[in-house]
Amino acid sequence: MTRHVLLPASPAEVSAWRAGDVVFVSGAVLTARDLAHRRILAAARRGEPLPFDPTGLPIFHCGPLARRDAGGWTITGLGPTTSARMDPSTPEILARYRTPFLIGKGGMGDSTRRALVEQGAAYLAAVGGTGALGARAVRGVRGVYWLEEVGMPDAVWILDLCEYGPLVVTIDAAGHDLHAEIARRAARLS
Amino acid sequence: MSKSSEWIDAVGRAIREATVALPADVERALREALTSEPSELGRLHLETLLENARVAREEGLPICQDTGTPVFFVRAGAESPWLADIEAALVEATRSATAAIPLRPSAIHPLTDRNVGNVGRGVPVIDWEIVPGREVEITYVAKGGGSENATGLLFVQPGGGAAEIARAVLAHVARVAPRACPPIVVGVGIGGTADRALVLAKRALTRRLDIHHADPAIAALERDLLEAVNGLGIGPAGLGGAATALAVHVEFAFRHPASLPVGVALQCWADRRAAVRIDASGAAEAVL
Repeated sequence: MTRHVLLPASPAEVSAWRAGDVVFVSGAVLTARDLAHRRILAAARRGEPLPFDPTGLPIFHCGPLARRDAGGWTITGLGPTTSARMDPSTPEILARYRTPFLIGKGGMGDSTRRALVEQGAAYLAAVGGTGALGARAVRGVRGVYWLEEVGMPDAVWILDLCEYGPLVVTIDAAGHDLHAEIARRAARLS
Repeated sequence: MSKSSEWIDAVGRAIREATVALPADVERALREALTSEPSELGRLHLETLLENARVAREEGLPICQDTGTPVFFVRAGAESPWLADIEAALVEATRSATAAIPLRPSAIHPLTDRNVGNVGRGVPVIDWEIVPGREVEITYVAKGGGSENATGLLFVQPGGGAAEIARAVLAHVARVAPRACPPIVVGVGIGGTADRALVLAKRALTRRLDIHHADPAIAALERDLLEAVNGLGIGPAGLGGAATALAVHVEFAFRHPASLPVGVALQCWADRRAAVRIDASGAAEAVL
């Protein structure tokens, strides 16, 4: 089914999503790639505060393209990066920040799948390479963090999205994993 | 205007063209894939790719936020009088296009993670091939990181012929294609030494999608491999369907009797490329 989701999404709502559902999201999400994941966890383990609060925000595996002018930031490219790079950090991130769902591409490993099930969270696949459509779905930039330290793609961006999608639920809170199914079939057929 | 600034302008225009406008052959291949895609999710994804391409072209926005590692394939006529100055122009064109379009700063020191924009040691990537003649043809390719991570260097048991090569390539593609933004373009380099096999695979990606290799046996291998890849069920965005690849391009070189290296390079569906020719007088023009 097709769902139009207004964030924040409640855990009960996310738990009801099923693999194969098509989702359009509106509201605040946080972008983080592997480098940002490592920095978040390093700070958290040392007990240091973060310059932003990831609690309850969906995490978007994305390194945006942005232009800065007098009026502030304009996102000119927004889309998913390969999620598998975030596998090592994701179970701990999900547990610490009660992340309701992830957005990325290519799917994730079994440790992440188990962590998603444990938290009642989900993984949504965005269409890779659709940066122009993604940019048009950005309503505003709430903040950008660690830009000087790690550069534009690896910085953490908190973005307001409007009807961003289509996203497909590919790992649901019940543990169904479309990526794993397709990979098994492709291996059998090759 | 000096020759060098003319080239910088022409190459800069090619970078912009590749970044915002999907090549016509790629768009045609996506439309064809849409007409025969049996999966509903697959059709939704193909429609989204085409809609994204339209918005990118009309609004001058990059097709993908990963504007890629800038790669130039240079076929340099050995008798061109301009060879000494071309590399500097390519570097400068990359630097100015990064600021003007803008491109995403995507060149990072491998040990410290420091981001230097798109120009640094070894970047842009420049592949030189010296050919007869007085012209220089420069093909720009934006190479995304996801598809680059799907590159493979396979060592196939010699003696198995085309069937054994096809089996090895298919097994590799089955494993990596879902994360390379399918429907992909598959470049295959057969033979040579290991490094040459990979270079051939990369150069194969610069060929127009609707052109097969001139050697009929290689062209047949291209067709067989495309059919086999599109039978894997990976589909658009890797979420199931028929359109896993838009084309398979094969290049080859002779090999050592004991060694059969096969390079496999993938390009995402956003197969962004554009070319410029510099003639013997130094004039630069876009290659259509």
